[in-house]
Amino acid sequence: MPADPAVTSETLSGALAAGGTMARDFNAVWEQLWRQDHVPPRLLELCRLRLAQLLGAGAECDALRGLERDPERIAAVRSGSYHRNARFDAAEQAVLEFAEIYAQDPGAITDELADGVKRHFGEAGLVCLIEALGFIEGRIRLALMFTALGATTAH
Amino acid sequence: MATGKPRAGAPAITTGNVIRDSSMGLATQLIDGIVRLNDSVWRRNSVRLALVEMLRLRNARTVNCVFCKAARYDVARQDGLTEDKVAQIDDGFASSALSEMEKLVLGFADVYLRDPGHFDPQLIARLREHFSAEQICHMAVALATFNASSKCAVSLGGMPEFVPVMEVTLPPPVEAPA
Repeated sequence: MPADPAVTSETLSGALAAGGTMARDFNAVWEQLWRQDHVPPRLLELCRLRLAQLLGAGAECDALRGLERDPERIAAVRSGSYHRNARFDAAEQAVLEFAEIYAQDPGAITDELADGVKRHFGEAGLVCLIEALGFIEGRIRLALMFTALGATTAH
Repeated sequence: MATGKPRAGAPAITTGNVIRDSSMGLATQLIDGIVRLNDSVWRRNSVRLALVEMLRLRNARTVNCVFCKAARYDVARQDGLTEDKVAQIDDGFASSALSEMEKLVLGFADVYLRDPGHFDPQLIARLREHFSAEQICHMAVALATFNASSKCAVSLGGMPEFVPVMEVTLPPPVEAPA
């Protein structure tokens, strides 16, 4: 029997179907992340890939949304070698550095890191980025859990 | 370094909704969905609110959000959550006097918070004995929402060293979309 496919942030909505309205409200925030213009969705996609890598979520790393098409940029984000990399502009580096620390310990975020994001995207952009990171990380974590839950479902 | 000052202000216009009026309200294109989701987590949950509050507090202590740790939702207290139980939401909860269901809720939270890629099949089986698929989804969404909120509060800075325990009331219900 083939193994159940891994759940990802994108397919999590199906795994949460039993959650009804509450799950739909959760999914609605996710969908809005990719439509807002406080922070470019392409940049959020890079953050998603970095968080997935940090969480060891292999299927999530492989599930590209089509927002970032440069394989060298994708590889650099996954390997964490975006620092002082000419393929990334200052705004992208500021956001990725912020995301990196957020994922490890939000209490370790410095004013300098936050100012780096605000310099490019303003206060609303900083707040949007933080909220987006929370929901991106949340869906990756839940996807990992629901992959395990699905794998233990009686066939 | 951190100066201890908040890293973002608040919306110029206040609405009476504590989430909307916080810094979170500056992200105007996300706030409606987040307010609706929070309303759903508390008003549409199929899990007892005392247990939902235990999920929230386990997350708060793990993330170390001072505000989240100090808050106690009145609806959870009305559902039977006491300070004696709250005191047991620490790393020794598995050997505490908490009930089996309470320990399962905290175990579920710890998988999410610590290592979501390793979900013990025995814990999954015990969860399924006590909770329906709908309830497991509701705990999952609630936990992810609480985690995003508390990490947001910490990330935005300006967190005091200590806040005394304070009872909080749910914001007014969100109207269903037209």
